[in-house]
Amino acid sequence: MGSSDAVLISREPVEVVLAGARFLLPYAPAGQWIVQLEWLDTLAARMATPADREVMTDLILDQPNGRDILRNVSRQLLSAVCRRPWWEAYRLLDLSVSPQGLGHLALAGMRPWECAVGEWCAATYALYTRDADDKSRLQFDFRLSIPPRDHRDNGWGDERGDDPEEIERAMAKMTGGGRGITG
Amino acid sequence: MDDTKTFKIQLKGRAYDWAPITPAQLERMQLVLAMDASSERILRVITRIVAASAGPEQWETLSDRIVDGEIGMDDLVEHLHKVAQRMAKDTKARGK
Repeated sequence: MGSSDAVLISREPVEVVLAGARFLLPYAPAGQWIVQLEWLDTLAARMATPADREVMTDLILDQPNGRDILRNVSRQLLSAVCRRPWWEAYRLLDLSVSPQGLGHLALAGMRPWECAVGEWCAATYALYTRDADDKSRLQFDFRLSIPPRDHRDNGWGDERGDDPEEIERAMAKMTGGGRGITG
Repeated sequence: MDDTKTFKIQLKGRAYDWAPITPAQLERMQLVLAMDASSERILRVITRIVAASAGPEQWETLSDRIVDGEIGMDDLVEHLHKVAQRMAKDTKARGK
């Protein structure tokens, strides 16, 4: 996958590497990603072709830590297609299908089955920040950016994130919807 | 945990003795379901767990019922959850 922001509008397949094997996930519109988001931890398998999913299943079942491998790859995948940390992408996509968010996006002419997930995510962010003053925008950015409690990577070390439920409640209060990170 | 302990639970009108199901087995089952794997893969994982838990003799009668379509995958998954729940309850009760 390219590293530029052009990936947000890309209709090209996305490459993932799972347990050492490479797979090309076909382009799917935002709607497909949002529908599959309920299974965040297995997203990479769900976005694959049926044939690749079979190979992935065998690979994952063969690994003692297969579940963790798939979870990490799935989260990286969401980050890559939305060009944001996965939890930000997740929260934005979740907000985008709240009645309020979806209504505004529809009125703005956005169609989840006609655009790339990166585009949809960017439009959702724009929707929630376009009329915000500096303070509100900063608050929104801050709440969006807080990693969930179970997140670990080199950038964050062993630091514990804030309580994800508390963040989601705050996000929902600010924006009027959302189902929260379930993965 | 007592490895010889079994749990008698009915599956569609017939009672079977189930050996405890390990968390790793349950995790594998949940993983293939969450991956939206093909019925063939799901069946392979689930039947392995069922066969191990129910034992060879009961497995034979069970597999006949599966082949006849009397017992479906959903029934099996739900049933394995029941076995795991009973197992957890039993462990908890003995811990008191």
